[in-house]
Amino acid sequence: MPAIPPSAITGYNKLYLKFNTSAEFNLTSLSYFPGLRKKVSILILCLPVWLGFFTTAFKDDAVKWSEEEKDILKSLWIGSLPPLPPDPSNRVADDPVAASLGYRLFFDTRFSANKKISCATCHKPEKYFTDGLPRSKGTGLSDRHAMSIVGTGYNAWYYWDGRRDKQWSQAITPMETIGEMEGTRVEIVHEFFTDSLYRKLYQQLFGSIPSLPDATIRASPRGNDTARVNWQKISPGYQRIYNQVFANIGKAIAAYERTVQYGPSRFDKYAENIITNKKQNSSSGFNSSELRGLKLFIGEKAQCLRCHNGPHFTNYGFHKIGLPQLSAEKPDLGRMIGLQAVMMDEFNCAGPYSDAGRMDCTELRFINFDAPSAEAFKVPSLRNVALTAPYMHDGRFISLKETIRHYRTASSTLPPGSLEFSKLNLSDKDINDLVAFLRTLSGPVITTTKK
Amino acid sequence: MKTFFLTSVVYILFMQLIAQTGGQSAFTDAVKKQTITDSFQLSEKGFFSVKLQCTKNTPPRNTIHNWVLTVLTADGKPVTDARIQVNGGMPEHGHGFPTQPVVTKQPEAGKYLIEGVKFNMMGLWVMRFNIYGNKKMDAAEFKLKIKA
Repeated sequence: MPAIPPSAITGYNKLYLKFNTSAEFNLTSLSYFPGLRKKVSILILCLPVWLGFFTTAFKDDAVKWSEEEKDILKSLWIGSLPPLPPDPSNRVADDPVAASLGYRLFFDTRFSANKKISCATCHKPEKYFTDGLPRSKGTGLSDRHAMSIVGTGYNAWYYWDGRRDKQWSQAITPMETIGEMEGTRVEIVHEFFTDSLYRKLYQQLFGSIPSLPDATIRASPRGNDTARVNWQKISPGYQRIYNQVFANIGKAIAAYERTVQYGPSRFDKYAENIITNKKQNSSSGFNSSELRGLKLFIGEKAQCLRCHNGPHFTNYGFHKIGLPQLSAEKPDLGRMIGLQAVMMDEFNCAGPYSDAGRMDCTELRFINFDAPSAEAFKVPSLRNVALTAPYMHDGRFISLKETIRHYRTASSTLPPGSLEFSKLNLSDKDINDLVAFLRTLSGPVITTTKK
Repeated sequence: MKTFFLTSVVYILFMQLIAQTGGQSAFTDAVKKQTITDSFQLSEKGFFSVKLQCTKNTPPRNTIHNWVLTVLTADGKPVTDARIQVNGGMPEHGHGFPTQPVVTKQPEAGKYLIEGVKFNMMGLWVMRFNIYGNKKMDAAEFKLKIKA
């Protein structure tokens, strides 16, 4: 074993003794035991280093938060969630009777073509209102992964591409979509009025039940060729009536969906402790990996906060994250298509079946057609993210680790302009810690709707 | 044993140095300069004196809201019926606004209501106005930091 260079010892001795006269006394008192003195010297000289080591090793357990970081924690805390914004396009949005009707409709399979599919087929309450599948299965295979409906009363846009701007107009879309519920507007409306409870609640909420033609045919402006031809055979007056009832069905479902909210997670308890100074600078139930993950999450190194900000961990917007197309024949252009679709939707906020005035439709009024939209997709909430795999609009990633790795790889390999974040220098440990933090965002789903 | 101690000393000191220098939050590098104030500033060519104010106490995040741009001549007279184009975004991130803000009305002489502004990220934002008034074209740019 080579000897420690005398210069090193001397250097440390000088440095150490300069700041610690009591150590100088102790060392001097051991002058009669030269060998022992040397060993003790080394041990004492190393003491600050060992202390430093332990400080570093357990630094996370005594993590300190700057005032700016505390503000960020507060902004992510569920307690910072503002009251549910009103929906002027839906006059029964906050009516408990409408929510009760909507709850029943949400689980009703009678509106689908095969009488087996309901909203809850792809938005299962026991799976946090997702289905756990890469692409949802209705009457066929959907093009995309089912988003959760929890907390969506706060959304400005719906679907991965924002092709709907109101919760009620989203709710009725799958009812007619081929491969999802695949019903038709005319059949759905007639089916709805066959139920005596629905008739009673409809009258209570929307007034008298309209008179409709006796014949029930597969007719819809969004169905297959036969359904669309049949729809054209219906007079414009009846078309408007069918459309209005269809919109009202959506408004009741939306009233229920608005009441489905995120409950507090382990992160929220930790954040509350920090921002109220209850257990400041302690781990408060977070282990070192979770704490490190949280620090990374709110820092610029991982850039997560750019899009996943606020109490729902989303800015509710659309961003390009450089996901390669899975199919060259059928590319998914995301928001680019959604922008056009929402403007053409007869059930949008400014449409004839909305209860809002045009001036209330601020998202539509100030829609930005110049924002990057090709291959941009909606930013999902990260609440309950560990419980709602798989991930991305097409469910291509089965694990959170794989998902975060995509951001690292894409930022290193794709040319500038193909994604909306800069290079991420994340180590494997960083990714593991981020995943550990994301797991702390799991919490219950709560609703105020009385069944 | 001695080698172990020496190696430990060097290694741990190095690790501590890394921890001290690399562990700082990027948020501590806050933008120090904020140019939105209650006072007027001259436009880029000096044709107009401009002031920008949010209609809310604090500019919100992820919510559409409004601002008021006051445009005066350099010697302090209101510029009415100006044509104003609104641009902006996050220069550090390289993207624009998620919405398209527009001037919708003149509540008073020289004051222009800008509706449809939305900031969807924390950080430095720029609001830029191309102003055509009194047969003169000029531009004014304001910086603001959207916080948590």
